[in-house]
Parts: sequence; C-alpha cells; structure tokens
Amino acid sequence: MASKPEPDEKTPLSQVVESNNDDSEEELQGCSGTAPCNPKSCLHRYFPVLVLICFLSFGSYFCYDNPAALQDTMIRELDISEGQFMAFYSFYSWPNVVLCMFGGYLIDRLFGVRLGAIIFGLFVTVGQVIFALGSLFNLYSLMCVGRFVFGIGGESLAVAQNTYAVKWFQGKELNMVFGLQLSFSRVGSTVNMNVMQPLYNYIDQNIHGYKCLGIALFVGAGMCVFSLICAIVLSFFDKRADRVLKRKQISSEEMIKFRDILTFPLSTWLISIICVAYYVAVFPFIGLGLVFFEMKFGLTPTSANAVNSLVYIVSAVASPVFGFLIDKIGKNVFWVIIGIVVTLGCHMMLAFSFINPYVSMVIMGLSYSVLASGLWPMVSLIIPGHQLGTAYGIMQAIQNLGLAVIALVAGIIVDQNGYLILEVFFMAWLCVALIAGVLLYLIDANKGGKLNLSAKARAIEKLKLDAEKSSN
Amino acid sequence: MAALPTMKVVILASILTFVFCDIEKRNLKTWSWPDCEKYNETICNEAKQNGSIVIYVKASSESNDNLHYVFSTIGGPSVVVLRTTNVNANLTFNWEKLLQYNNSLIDGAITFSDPQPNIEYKFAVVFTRLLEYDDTDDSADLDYCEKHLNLTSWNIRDFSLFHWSSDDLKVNASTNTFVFNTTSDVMIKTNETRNGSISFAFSVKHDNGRTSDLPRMLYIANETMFDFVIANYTPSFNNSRFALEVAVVSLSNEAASVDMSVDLTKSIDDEYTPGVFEIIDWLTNPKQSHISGFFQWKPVSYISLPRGRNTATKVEHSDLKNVDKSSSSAKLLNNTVLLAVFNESLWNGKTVKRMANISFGLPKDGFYIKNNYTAWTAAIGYGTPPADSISITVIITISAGLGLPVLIIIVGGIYSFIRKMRKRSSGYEPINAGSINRNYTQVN
Repeated sequence: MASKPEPDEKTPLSQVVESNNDDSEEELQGCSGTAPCNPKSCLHRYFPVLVLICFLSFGSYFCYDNPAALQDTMIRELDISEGQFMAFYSFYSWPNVVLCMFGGYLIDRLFGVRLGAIIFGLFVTVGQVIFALGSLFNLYSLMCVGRFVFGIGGESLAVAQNTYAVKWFQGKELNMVFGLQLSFSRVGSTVNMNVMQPLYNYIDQNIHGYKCLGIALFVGAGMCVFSLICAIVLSFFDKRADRVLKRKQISSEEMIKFRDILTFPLSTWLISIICVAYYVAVFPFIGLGLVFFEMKFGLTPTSANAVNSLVYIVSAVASPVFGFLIDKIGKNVFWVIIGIVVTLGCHMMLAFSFINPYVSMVIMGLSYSVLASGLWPMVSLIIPGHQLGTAYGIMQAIQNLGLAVIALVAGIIVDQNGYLILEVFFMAWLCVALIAGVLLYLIDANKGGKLNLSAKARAIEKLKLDAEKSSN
Repeated sequence: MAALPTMKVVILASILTFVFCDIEKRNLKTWSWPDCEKYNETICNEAKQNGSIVIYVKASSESNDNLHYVFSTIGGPSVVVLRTTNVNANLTFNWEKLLQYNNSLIDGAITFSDPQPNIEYKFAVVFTRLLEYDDTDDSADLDYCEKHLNLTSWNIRDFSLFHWSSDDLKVNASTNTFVFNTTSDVMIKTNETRNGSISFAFSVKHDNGRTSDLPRMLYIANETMFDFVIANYTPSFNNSRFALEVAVVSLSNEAASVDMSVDLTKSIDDEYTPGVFEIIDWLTNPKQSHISGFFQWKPVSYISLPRGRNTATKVEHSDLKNVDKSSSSAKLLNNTVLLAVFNESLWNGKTVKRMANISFGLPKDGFYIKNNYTAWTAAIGYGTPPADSISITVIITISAGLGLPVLIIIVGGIYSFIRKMRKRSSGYEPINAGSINRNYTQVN
C-alpha cells in the first residue's frame, strides 16, 4: 500500500498531493483529471471501480443457477433424470472443494489479481458456452464438462473479486463493499430465476426442444462475456492506479510460498471454522426448507417458496447497509458473534415453535447479512496483502467442502429422522460457530484486540502506524 | 376449511398424556367368506365370483373383551367393528341375505350366535364414493373445486359399482392381512390396456408397535391399519386429483348420541414421519373413549414408490356432514354390510352417521398423472387412538447437540474470566512492588 496517509472523505485531495514528496507525480490530463477517472479521487473508487468489482461475478452468479431456473424444462427437453439434473450442480461444486484454493494461490503467486480475474472470467465464459453447446446438440456429457469448466472459473473468480475489494477498499468501506458484493450475487441469481423461463418461452415460439434451451443458455454466456469485459476494464483501471498511486509492488522474496499457509495465524482458521459452520446451518436448510414450511406451518407452495427465498432477498438489501454500519462502528468479532446467536435463535423458533416462519426467516436474513459483511473483511486484517488470495481461496474451499458434504448429510438426516433432528443438527453447527467465535474473541483480545477494534480506535491505530512509517 | 377442528398443540414440555388401560395383546382368528360353506355351493361360488367378499376377524382377549371386525366389499369397501364383553360368541353370516344387498334386504344378515353377548359398542367405516376431479387451477382444494368446477370436470364413481377380485384377496392367516383389489372397467377406459387398480390392503393388529414403512404410524392391539392405493390408472383428465368419500356410523347402547369430531394434533416432532407434523383422529365419541371408535391418519400420501419425503404429498379432509336417511348417500349405506349389522337401528336417532371427503394432493405436486400412483395409510380402531411421543433418542440428541456446546461456552467463559481476573490482580503487583521498593530506599 502507499506509504502516505490514506486520503479519507474528509481530507481534501490537494493536501494528499502536497504531502506526497515524490516529484515524479504523473500529470493527469483530459478526462483523467476529473474525479471519476482520477485514481486519487474517492469517487473513482465507487465509480467505476466498485461497479466493475460488483459486476465481475454477475455473469457467474447468473449462470450458476441457470439449471434451477429451467429445472422442469431441462428435465423434459433433455430427457434426463432428477439425479442427472442434480449432477449439473455436483460437477460445479465438488471440484471446487479443492480447486479454488489453488485459484487463490495462483492469483497470489503467478497471475496477480488482474490477470487472475481475466483468466477465471474466461473459464466461466468458456464453461457456459460448452454447457450451452451441449444443450444445443443434446449431449448430456458435454454439458457436464461445461459445468465443470464453469466451476473452475466461478469460484476462483469470487476469490479474485474479494482480493480486488481488499486492494481498493481496505481501511475504507471494506465491510460495505463485501456486503454489496453479496447483494450483487443475490441480484444475479434472482434476475436469472425470473428471466430464464420467460426467455425460454419467448425463444420457444420459433425454435423448440433442446435447441431452444441451448440458445437460452447462450444468453447466459452473454452475461459471462459482459463480466469478462468488466474484468478487462477493471484490470486497466487497477494497473493505472498502481502506476499513478505508486502502489507497492510485491517483491519476489515476499511472494507467497505454499508452506506459508502453515504460518497463517490461528485466527484465520477460526474465521474459516465460523465460515463453514455458519454457512452449512443456513444454505442446506434453505435447500430443504420448502417442504418444511408447507407441512409444518401449512403454507401454500407459493408462500413457502416466498418464505424460503426471504434470506436471499433480505440479505441482498441489508448486507450493504450492515456493512456500512460495521464500517462506522467497527467491532467485527462482536457482530459476527451476534449474527451467530441470532441465527441460532431463529433455528430454535423454527424447530420448537409454530411461530410464523416469515418472522424467523426475515431475522435470519438480517443476521446472515450482519455475519457475512463482518466476517469476510476480517481476513484482510490478519493476512498481509500478498497472501490474501490464498487465504480467501482456502476459506472458500473449506466452505465449499462443508456445503457439499453437509447438503448430502442433511438430506439423509431429514429422510431418516425428520426436520426436528435436522434443525438440531443445524443448531449444533451454529454452536460450533459460536464456540469458534468466542475463541476468536478471546485470542484476539489476548493479542490486543485488533479484530474487534471500534472504527474510531482503528482509525487512530492507522494514523499511528502511518506516522511511524513516515518518521522512518 | 371453514371451521377448524379442535386443535391441540403438543409442545415439547407436554410429554404425552394418553392413558393406556386398553388390552395390549389380542388373539386373532380370520375367516374368509365365513359360514359360506354351510350354504349350498352355488351361493358360495356366486359370492366369490361376483366379488362379494366378507372377511371376519375376531380379536379376542383372555377376559372375553373381544373385538369383532367385519370387512366386506358388499356395496362398497366397509369395516364394521363390534365390541363384546361378557361371553365368547362368534358372528354368524346369512349368505342368502348377504347376496341380496342390491335390494337393501341385507338387514339381519350378520348376527351373534347364542349365547348372545353384550354388544358394548359398534361402529363402522364405509368408503362410499371415489371422486375424481379436473383441478385446472391446481388448487388441490376440494371445497374450492366443488364451488368452481362445473359438472363435466367431475367423475364420481360409487364404490358399489366396482368388481372386487376374489383372486387378489391374498388372505394371510398368520399376518392377518388381506387385500380388496379391483381392476374393474368402471375405472379403466375400454381402449386401455394398462392394468390399473384400486386396492385397500388391510392389516389387523394384535399388539402394540410401529410400522416400519412410512408414515411409520404407531399402532395398538385395538385397530386395523390399511393402505389405500390407486396405481397405474389412466386418469380421466390431465389435472386429475382423487378424493375418497367416507361415512362413519356409530352406535352405543349406553349413552345418548354424541357428535363426532375430527381432531388435529400438531407436534414439533416429525422424527417418525419426516416432514409430517400432524396427526388426525376422527373420533366417534370424543368424550368417552370406551364407547368410541377412531379413524386415524397422518395427512400425507405418497405419489410413487419407494415412499419417502420426496414422494410425499398432502391429504386434506372436509368438515363432517350428517347423513340423512333421505339423501343419496343413505342408499349407498343401505346396500352395505352396515345394514346387516345395524339393522333398522341404522336410521334411528341413537345412531350417529357422519360423512367427509378425504382428498389427496398439494398444489404443484404434478397431479395424479405425474406418477400414476397414490398411496395413503390410515387406521380404524376402538377406544383411544395411539399418540406419538417424543422419543428418548430425540431428547438425547437435543440435549447433546445443544447442551454440550453451551456447556463448553460456559466453562470456557468462566475459565477466561478467572484468567482475566488473575491477570488483572497480578498486573497490580509490580506497581505495588515498585512503590514498596521506593519506600524502602526512602527509609534507607
């Protein structure tokens, strides 16, 4: 990062320029002189950079749920079984239990975040094109290959997105940016859910069967191309900012080695445990929620579906807001623990009472937003910048593994023992997350409470650090 | 539903309150076409050929507290249950009368042999009609469809018109099971080669337990469980759903007639039937269980095999309606073995007769046509119906799954608190030590 006091919204820009003693200051001309194009301007961070970061994964989130949006159509037109259909998701998720860890490592070690984002964006696009071609020629195995390639790109692209976010927003609005990323992923899949079937029906007027399906999927590929373009434009801005702001280049001695993973502090692993233990108590539950809401609370399928998607909808709206608040207040560990406890309460309400599930699911959506926007940025407070890709990759990999395994286990539990036991199972996971959260708090407090600082204290800390640096 | 039935909510705390003073073990004896061999062969053969099945099961106990079940297809599938107490008597069957069912001349065809026992209570369940309707709005709501669908969207069949196969009966005397099966052309279109069927598979119980198949219902020695299955039948409409019309008739000599009720018991516990949180008890006498029969089911049916959470769909029931002697349903009852057991008292004021529809399906479950299969399990019995309680396994799981982590957090919290306190007190020491030292130097 730059070795000068970071400009915040209150510091006038000129001051920043003045304090910079470097005389090889680049002259920015034309549009470059205006705030949106000037990397030194805070406006530049929001537009275009933040917008580009948000759209980076839009294509992959849009296409990830293409099969779900067209489930009945796909099963009918491709003449595949329910199990074969579910394989579209398995081919995506299982390889990523391992691959996105390497994706993150490659970003740190080999590609850098710019090239990394473009390469993974390419994988996403090519994967979706293969998937669409498979449908066009009614080749089921080709479609599975497509999902596999798509998966390699998709998860690692998310890692690249996180790395970008930290690079541009660390010490600024990082929590909000993570929240915003989350809502964009939700927007991506919601748009997909609402667009794909009407799109299919529209194309179906002229072309029928699996060919129609293939063409509809090509529209999805179009979204991936759009995200790929975002990756390319973003890499241009990022490179330019590196040059203008004279961001520090990572030397080859500093470059992460694979064994560096072993030197990650304990807090990183606790964060990973919270991540996996919390997420497996929310998403596999949503996957099995429909029947639960219909049968236990007597909702119609339509309202059961609405309740089931509440967590997504609420988190799409609430997570940037909570992210913003956490930016202002700080105390990330505290918020994470609050998120876990409240979610635990929601699961208890669902399991042990007949209280309208709208209530518990809205609260769960809120607590999920608090947790997600508080949890992910913490990694950047512990891990140095040049190892961040790997750290996020590992976290994502552990989370993917957890989700894949627990989704299977949850299915077995509910078939054998019913929803009450399933809920207890999820609550047990939340308790694990809670224990990890409390441990994280204690360990962090022992070390001086870096993670749980209030925003004010964090700012003071930062000023001190910068002052030390400049006095050196 | 317009008027909700009485709703009991079982919460975690209220551990089961059902008092079990009923007989726990019974000896069963099963006869098919009982007494038929006493008549000339033509009558017996006629009964078998025209599908007039009668199965008599006597569930006796050592104290002569006996249950007599009569299962019959005559005039439609029906189950009659009689409870006798004082002497060990058997039912006798007059086949000349039984075969006259079409003309409502069947009364008095089933009586007790001498010495006449004391009939404490009798009740019966009759399946009168099979309703098929074109649920174009995918509401799966029978009340709604009755109001909104016109006549052409209905295909209502009297069960008396079906031919029940004597060959498919499969009476098993050791397990006390048998099947009423029909592949009648009433159901199957003439150009149809599919071997569709409708069946009631009965299993008379002699002790307490729980079935291994879903919905894994608890059973007692006072009941008979049955599976109702519509398999491989090509429906009349693309959006066909099915419903059963059921009549329940109850007569006690002891008390004045009491209205029946349908109780819905909710539970948070679905460990035995994943995804099902309710059990429904249609009680003939909700206040006095010793003169009450029950018709119990969980509101779940299965649309394909194997039965599982994925193949489950809902079962709904309508409100109870009275059956008038003048109604069209009355004629259906008059043609069944009910008249043979209840005789003229069937239509007097002491006998309570109620009717309801039980419909299968849930919106968006793909209608009957999705798998061409619907299966439903229910139980008919005497006394207090069995009730699920939260199992020890679940209680242990809950306390382990939630208690252990909470314990860890509490212990961990106390530990770290103590450590913090110690640290704080040890933190003061150097200051004290320093000041003491300074004092010493001053003294010196």
